[in-house]
Amino acid sequence: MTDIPVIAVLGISIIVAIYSGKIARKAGLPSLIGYMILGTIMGTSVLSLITENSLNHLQFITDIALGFVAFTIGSELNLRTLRKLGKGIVLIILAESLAAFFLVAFAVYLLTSDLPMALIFGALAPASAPAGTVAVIQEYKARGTLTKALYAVVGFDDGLAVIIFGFSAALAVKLLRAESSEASVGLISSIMEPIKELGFSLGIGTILGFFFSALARKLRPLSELPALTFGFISLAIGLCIWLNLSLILTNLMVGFVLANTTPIRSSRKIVGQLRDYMPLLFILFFFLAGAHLNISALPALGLLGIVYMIARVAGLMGGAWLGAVMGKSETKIRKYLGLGILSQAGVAIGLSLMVRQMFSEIGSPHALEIGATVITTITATSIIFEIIGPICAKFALTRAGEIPKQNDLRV
Amino acid sequence: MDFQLTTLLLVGIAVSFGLYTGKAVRRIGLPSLIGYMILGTLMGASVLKIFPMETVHGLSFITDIALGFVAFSIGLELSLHTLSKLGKSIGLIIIFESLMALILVTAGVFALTGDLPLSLVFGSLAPATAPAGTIAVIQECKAKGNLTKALYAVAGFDDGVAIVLFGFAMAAAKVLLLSESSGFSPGFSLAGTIGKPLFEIIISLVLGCVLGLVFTWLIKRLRSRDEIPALTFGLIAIGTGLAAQFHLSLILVNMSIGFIVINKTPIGMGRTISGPLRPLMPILFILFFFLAGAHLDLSLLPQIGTIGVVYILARSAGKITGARLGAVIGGADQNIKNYLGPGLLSQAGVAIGLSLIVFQEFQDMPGTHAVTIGRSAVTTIAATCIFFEIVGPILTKYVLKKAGEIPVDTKP
Repeated sequence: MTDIPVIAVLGISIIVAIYSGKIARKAGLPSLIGYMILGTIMGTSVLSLITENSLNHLQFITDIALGFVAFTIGSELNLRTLRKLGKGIVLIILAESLAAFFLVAFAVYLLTSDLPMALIFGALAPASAPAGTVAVIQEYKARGTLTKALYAVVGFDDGLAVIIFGFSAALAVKLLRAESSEASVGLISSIMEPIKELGFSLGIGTILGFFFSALARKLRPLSELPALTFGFISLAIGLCIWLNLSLILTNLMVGFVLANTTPIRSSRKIVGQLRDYMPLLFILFFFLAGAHLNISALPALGLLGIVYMIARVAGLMGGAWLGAVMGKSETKIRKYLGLGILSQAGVAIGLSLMVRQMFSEIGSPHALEIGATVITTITATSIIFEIIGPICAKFALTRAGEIPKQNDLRV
Repeated sequence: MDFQLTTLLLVGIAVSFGLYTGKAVRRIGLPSLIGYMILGTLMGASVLKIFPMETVHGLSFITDIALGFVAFSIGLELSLHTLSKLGKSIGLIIIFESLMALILVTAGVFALTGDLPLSLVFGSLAPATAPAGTIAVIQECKAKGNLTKALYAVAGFDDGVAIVLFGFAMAAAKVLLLSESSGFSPGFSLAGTIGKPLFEIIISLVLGCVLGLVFTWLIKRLRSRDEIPALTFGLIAIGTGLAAQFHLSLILVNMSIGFIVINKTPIGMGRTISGPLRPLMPILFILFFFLAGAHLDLSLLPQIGTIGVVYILARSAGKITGARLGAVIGGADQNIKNYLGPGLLSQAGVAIGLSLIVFQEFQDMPGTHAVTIGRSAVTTIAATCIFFEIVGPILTKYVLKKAGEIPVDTKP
């Protein structure tokens, strides 16, 4: 029953958000910036019309929206497109993630000469937030090879981010334990964790995807397709939260298997029916993201945060460029892909919460200090990346000529 | 966090499995929603307990939103053009079917128990109907025609009449009970008891109209169609949230929004608004009836007792004869005369809500008689609703078929 007033507040927010999105668009920014600003104003930082407690109750909306985003990404990636993008895509994903990791770790080490801390910040750098990029693509109805490449990169790099985080967090834990001369847990076993997570996410996503596409092909009447899609995505999300798997990878695989086991026309039909509701989901997602933002965390950015941001941007852009050059991708992918993947939000904050928990189990003062620093810094940098990321993605798509012209007129 | 995890997983299971139990049930000629309800009952608190009651309560906002959408889509069907074609018979039908249900149930229960306040309470609960079942059947079967239109109108508007009648009959029951126990108590005002439901209806209609006008004003100026579903959802959320918070009729509020929208926008606009709702409705119906099923407490069925049986018989007779009487006097067409009444029997959430009000108000009254009546109303209505919730939609489908308003090609 406590939900009831929340429903009304949410309803008003959606309607006002539509218009704040329009204002943002008039200023040449993606609408989601408007949704986020409204959320910030109504959220805990400013007016407190939406309380921490109701935000926790509404967490499921964020999860569902992210599930749909990942599913959409997967459904865009049929093997033919991927083959056309070529090995360039794989190289780009490897290079941007690794470069972000190494550059951030290196820069933070130069600044603090604290190796475990540097490893942890490096580990968080590759994580990206696909929702911002996908929202921009859909809002401007972008089309073309850069768009396809962006879908592939923001989707799959979550997998690599999980692995890099797992490895370097394990290494950092080992270093910290050695410091406090404690018997350390086997490195191997802690490295297996992320690999297991990745394997299970891909496996469960694939299995669900096969079931889904087999059922969807035979489903009549077609008006029930959205129900089936919604059911499977909620199922996948629920399993991920329950088993601690990657929500993004699992749902991506459901969409991916669908796109590659059904004729293009019928998979288009399935995804097309979702399209009506994507704007609503994006409004809710970014409004809630804004309401979550804790502006008072911004001053905590500090020198460390600035170094992290600069090194991460340099790593992602430099790495994407390097990967594209090595894979001989098109010029526009070489030039602009890196700009399109800067968003960072929920996943990174989630990982930093995990770091704090892991490190509080170690218990040494050094570990506790790192845990606290990571949380405050990443919370602050995420505010910036969440705003800059989509703006840069729009800029990149515009420059690459993948946004149809008539779209700008229809403000 | 624990709450989140199981909930989404369970919602996913409910929707994807519900879809197929619905299909199985459809194969034997019943409406899908019976399948959703059966799955809900199996997984719910009565049988397997996979869906704990706590989760069901946590998801009650889904039921509210679904009902809001149902009421909104009822409103969207009621263009003045349609209503004027249906003529004054609709008004008469609504008044007669509601009044007859009230009168017959009161008489029947009085004949059985000789307890007038008790009979009035049961009578006051009889007119309430549950529109979701009727609408779900109409949409699933893609029914079209005069009877369909009349069902939309009656299912929507009779909520208002039911609230008024409930208010009056309750007031009468209270007066009787109070005079029974040492005359009038100073805290009771007859005008207040009758005035409150009227007030509730008027505020609901006004709120709905205001929101509807805001919506039409906004939607006419919305350049891109992409945002229409978001706008619709936002408005229904506001209507639903405000109705729940200020104890208004969720159905009347959202129905008036739809009613204003359809009558205040250019002709094509209605379809632009209701089009995107179509893929959403099956999801909402599955969740709505799944949760309704999970709510069902089968252990209540034996408590139905003779009062319950009399209530069921008298209410059905009242609705059917009342609708027929109204249709005959109003000169409605043959299909409506014969089939409207049996299509209207669903009763669920609203009636249970009203019986809880009875329980609450009677608990604070002097004398044990009032408390017993309150308790008996809650348990009996909970049990009879199980019956009406299952039989209602089945009959609706049957009458639509009989009236020839279900296109032949919509087989599963």
